Amino acid sequence: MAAAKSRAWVRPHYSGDEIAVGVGLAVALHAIPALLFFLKIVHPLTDTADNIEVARPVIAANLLKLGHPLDPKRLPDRIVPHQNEAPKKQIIASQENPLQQKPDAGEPPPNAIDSEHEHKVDKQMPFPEDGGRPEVAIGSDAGVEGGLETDPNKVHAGDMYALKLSSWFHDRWTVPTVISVADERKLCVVFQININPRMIIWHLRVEPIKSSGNPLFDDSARNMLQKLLDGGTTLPEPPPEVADQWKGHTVNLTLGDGTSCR
Amino acid sequence: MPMRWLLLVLLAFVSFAADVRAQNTLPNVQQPTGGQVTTLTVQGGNRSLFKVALPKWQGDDATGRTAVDTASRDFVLSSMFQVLDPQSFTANLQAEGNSIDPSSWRNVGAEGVIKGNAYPRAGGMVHIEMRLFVVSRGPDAVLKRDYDVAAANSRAAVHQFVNEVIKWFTGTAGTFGTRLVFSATTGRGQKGIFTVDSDGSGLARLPTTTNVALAPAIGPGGNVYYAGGLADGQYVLLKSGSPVPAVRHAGLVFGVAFGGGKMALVISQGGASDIWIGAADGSGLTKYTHGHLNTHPAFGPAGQLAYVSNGAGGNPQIYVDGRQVSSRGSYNMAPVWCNDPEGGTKILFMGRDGATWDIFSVNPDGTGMKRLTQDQGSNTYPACSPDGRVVAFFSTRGGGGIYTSNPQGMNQQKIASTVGESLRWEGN
Repeated sequence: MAAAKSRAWVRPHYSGDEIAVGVGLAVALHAIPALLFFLKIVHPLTDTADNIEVARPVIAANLLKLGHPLDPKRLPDRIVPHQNEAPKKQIIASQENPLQQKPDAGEPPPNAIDSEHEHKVDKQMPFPEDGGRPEVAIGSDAGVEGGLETDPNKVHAGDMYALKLSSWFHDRWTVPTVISVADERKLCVVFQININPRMIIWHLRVEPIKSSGNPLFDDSARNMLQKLLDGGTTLPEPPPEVADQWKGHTVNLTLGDGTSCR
Repeated sequence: MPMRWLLLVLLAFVSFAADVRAQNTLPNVQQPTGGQVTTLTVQGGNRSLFKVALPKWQGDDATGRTAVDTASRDFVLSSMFQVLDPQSFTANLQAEGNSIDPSSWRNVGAEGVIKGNAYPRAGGMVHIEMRLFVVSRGPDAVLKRDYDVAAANSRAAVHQFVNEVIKWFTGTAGTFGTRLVFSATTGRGQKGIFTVDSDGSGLARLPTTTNVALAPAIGPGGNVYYAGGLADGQYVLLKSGSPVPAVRHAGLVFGVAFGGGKMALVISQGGASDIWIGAADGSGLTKYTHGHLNTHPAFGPAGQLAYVSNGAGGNPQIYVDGRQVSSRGSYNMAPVWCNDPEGGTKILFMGRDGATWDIFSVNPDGTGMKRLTQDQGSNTYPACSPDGRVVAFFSTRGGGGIYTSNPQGMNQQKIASTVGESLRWEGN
């Protein structure tokens, strides 16, 4: 009986007026947006009001450069070379002497684990990853320009030393300005020098092996070599790997644009 | 037995001697053949001015001093030579005579030596001998010239020898001894025409028939022409030394240029300035530009015409044969052609940069614009030597004057202390 009473209290009972009001409200709530939509179609809003909400393209992204912006209309600045302030080219060849005996570090710590590499690969191999495979000779048996040296250590050290020595001569050689830059670029002279075991030029062949055709250009190169000869100047010491290519050897110096000497 | 011992001792001695020789002196020289020669390539050297020594002359002392000063200045202005300080010379000039001891000059860093003698002759003449020695070429002169000139013209002989020295080295003679011409203010509202030698000496005012003489140029026969204002308000083309106008044209003549057998005149009519071109005598003039501002004509080596124009009312820029070649800057003017031996044909001009002017160069096709002066006063009215090796211009720096440099703007040297306008170099 109590349960039936409770269910009767919970179940809503609406009068006809209440139902009419609820239906009216529901219809009105749905009609308002429909009416607004209808009004928007019939009377569209002005552009200014509309534009406020329209998404504009994002401001174009400019690539920024550090420093002053380049103005193509601006007059150029004067370019003045500062030769004396320019850093000297420094070439470091053969920083490590592969033949130099390094001091023995002594016994390894008791708990040290030996590298597997040490056991598998000969430490003297230039490239341990080769794993002891026989080296493949570079070049042909008939000989190629630059020699047949296949030891990468020697090739590397030799190239670096040649660059260093070339730069050393370059720093001491002055070409007079009476020879125009355009003319100088076409000139090349070959002189022959002899170097003693202490890397001192002990002989200069006065006449060039190949003249440039411009006596002043030849003179400038000869003067440089003559000064080195007279002064007993010691040339840069070659690394031990390639010392036998220079010490006590005859050297043909090609001074100038090498292509015009070929 | 004693013989065997003797041979052993002898063999040991020979072996020891050979060993000592190998260690101390000469190694075995590998001959060029047989693959034992090492080769090395050295790419180019550093460029340095050719160091030249000009010792005291023999003979007439005054002429010798003038000659050494004149030649030294020419060599410095050429931007190719460095003149060494005479105080460093150690050579025995008396003992050397008309040759040199190369080692004496090599020791002081000289690469070349210029020696000279000057001996007075009757009638105010002087006999001048000049010799060029190249130290690396040995004790004998590589170039020798004799001149018999009036004592007052000894500088001209020295200029000529310096030009020949430059030719010996480069194949193209120098142009020292030529002159520059320009206009300068002589009073309130007055301008005159002046000339000065290429080394800054011999500044002189040329005779003009008017007190307002503008924009001079050197025309046929070496005559100086200029635009002059007459008492009736007309501006005509006048020739220095002649009271009769060389060209009188409707409108006002404000400038002139010569080249390739032609004359270009700047004539202002009805508020517009235009360039007219005709024969070198001023006949057959026809209008080359039409309207606006067109001025400062300059003929190129192949007859091209560079000039200033503001196009259709824009900023004044440099044009060549109707094509704009300068676009940078807001005001460019006074173009002149320069056949730079190092960089090829260029057009030099002055460009306004803020409150001052500077000298610029550009290729005739409009590429490669470069600045020759900057942050050193106001630099105006460039002129180029006929050989293209020296550029002259006015500058307000250092109290103002005429300065020279090479076509790259290096080696800027003051040669005179006068400032003016419309600088032109004879022969260019």
